[in-house]
Amino acid sequence: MTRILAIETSCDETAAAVVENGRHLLSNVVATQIELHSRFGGVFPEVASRQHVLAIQPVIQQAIQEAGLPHVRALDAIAVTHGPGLAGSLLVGVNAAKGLAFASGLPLLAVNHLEGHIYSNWIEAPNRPAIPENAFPAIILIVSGGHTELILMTGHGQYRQLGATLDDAAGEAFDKVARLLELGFPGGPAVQRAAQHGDITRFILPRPLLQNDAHRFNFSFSGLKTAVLNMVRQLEKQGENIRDPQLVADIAAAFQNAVADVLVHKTADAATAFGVRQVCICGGVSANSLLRSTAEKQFAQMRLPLYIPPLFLCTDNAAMIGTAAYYGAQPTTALPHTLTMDVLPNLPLPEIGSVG
Amino acid sequence: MLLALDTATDTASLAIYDLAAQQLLAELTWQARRRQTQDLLSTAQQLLAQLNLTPPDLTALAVTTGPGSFTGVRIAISAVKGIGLGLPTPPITIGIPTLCVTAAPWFLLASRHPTAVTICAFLQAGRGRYNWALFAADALLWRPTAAEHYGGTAAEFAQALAEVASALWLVGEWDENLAEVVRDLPHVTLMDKVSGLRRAGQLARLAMLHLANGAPDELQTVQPLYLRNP
Repeated sequence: MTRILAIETSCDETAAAVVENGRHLLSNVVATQIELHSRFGGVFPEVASRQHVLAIQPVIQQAIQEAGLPHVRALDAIAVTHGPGLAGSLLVGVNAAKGLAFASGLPLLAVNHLEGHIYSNWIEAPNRPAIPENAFPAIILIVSGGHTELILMTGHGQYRQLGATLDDAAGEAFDKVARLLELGFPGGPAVQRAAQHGDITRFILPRPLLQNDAHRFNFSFSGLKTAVLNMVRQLEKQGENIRDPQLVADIAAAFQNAVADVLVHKTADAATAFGVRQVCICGGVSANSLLRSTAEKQFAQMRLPLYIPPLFLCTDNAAMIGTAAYYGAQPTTALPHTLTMDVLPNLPLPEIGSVG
Repeated sequence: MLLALDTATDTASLAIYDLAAQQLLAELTWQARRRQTQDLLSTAQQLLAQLNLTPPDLTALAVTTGPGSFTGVRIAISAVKGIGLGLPTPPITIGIPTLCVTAAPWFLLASRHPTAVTICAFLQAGRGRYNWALFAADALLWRPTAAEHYGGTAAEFAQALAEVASALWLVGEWDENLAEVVRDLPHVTLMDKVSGLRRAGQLARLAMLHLANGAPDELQTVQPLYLRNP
């Protein structure tokens, strides 16, 4: 039996979890800072770092307690996100994890945050089928506030990036459109809420790069955001009240629909092109209900198993870091991680090769 | 055994102090600059090994809380929180403001001086600014709050020093800008930079004295001392 304590502080959530045998959650604690950052309309790095150092110890203690463990020393390893993310935020988790490893003598495993999101689909959760042990090859769509990437996964720790966003990440586009429509922060839930009563057919927005062979697996969302901005200006010129809740709802619905459409179509295209056995969607934006339902319809039609984490594992959490550490720590991919490791704010996903 | 950790500025320092024998066993002060996270605990491990000790021998932790670089201060404090949770028995923990450590070596001399002496400890706060605090000669165990620290440019610092009536011993890692503006202040003695280094041995000594007074902090309450809002 392997029990890993995982710590995640790459952005604005202070999180710790204990994961047993890679897939089974013994505890999963997340202290969110959303309210603190909402008045800035985005994550304020220094505020995030200050909050992490306040929260880190109680969050770790709670994770150990809720796992029913008497002490850190009852664990087998410490795992921590060392990148990508905000440097000042990462430093709090990494140094706390190092302190734990130093004092307890437990091995310290450095985990890539993106790999964490990928492995959020491997965690056991109630009311969902577990992903089979041999799930490969699989297509992974990582879609969050900082990342939009299509990845071909051929084995544990074996990734090939097929494409990524050329500009804004999908989550970033949600934040920007939410700001534009004065819906608040974070943008994902705010746009979804507003779109609930929207008419999806009233406005049609462009589907960036959907018919573009040169960028078959790449994304671009900054143009879509501009299209929303232009549409709002146009409507204003036509004398529309752009604060009218129905109008805002219709715009939000059109935007959300365009994003979900592009994400699902490109993922389906990649799934067909590489003949994969399953499709995984993960990252904060995978909590979006329209994206989830669009993907479910699409992959049911294609008779491909689709895995999307339950909502509580879509946003940043430490459970996924523990799971990634467990699979990453298998002998074939093990790396020596010592107390000298540093934070890597721009860490990419490890690559086995790019698409030729 | 007490482990003292300081990464509040580019100068990092570590010390291991035997609380029972009241003896400093090991100390290392080095220019860590941006390598604080990489260096801190790997170096602590080496120091312990040098003394034939292991982390479970540690019963107490002392750390500087600021001022300093926000990130630097959080590095050692975060490490302390991890160590505190990882040791078999929860250690006694104490946070000490950074400038107390810089001032610590000078109190005995200052208190024996025939005329009144104020100790001014400072650090370079980046972008040509300084942070400082003024210590009376008998204030070895005083822990100034954020409001009891000052900040400003070299000229503002010199102006503030000019307004102090007593003799001033100025200690810290100075640069030419600061040396230049205090040169003509007759009541100011600028100590040499090596003697003005912040050393974790002094942090350990202060921690030991505070602990003898029965004033440990809770692991949770050891938090950075910020002089500015984000």
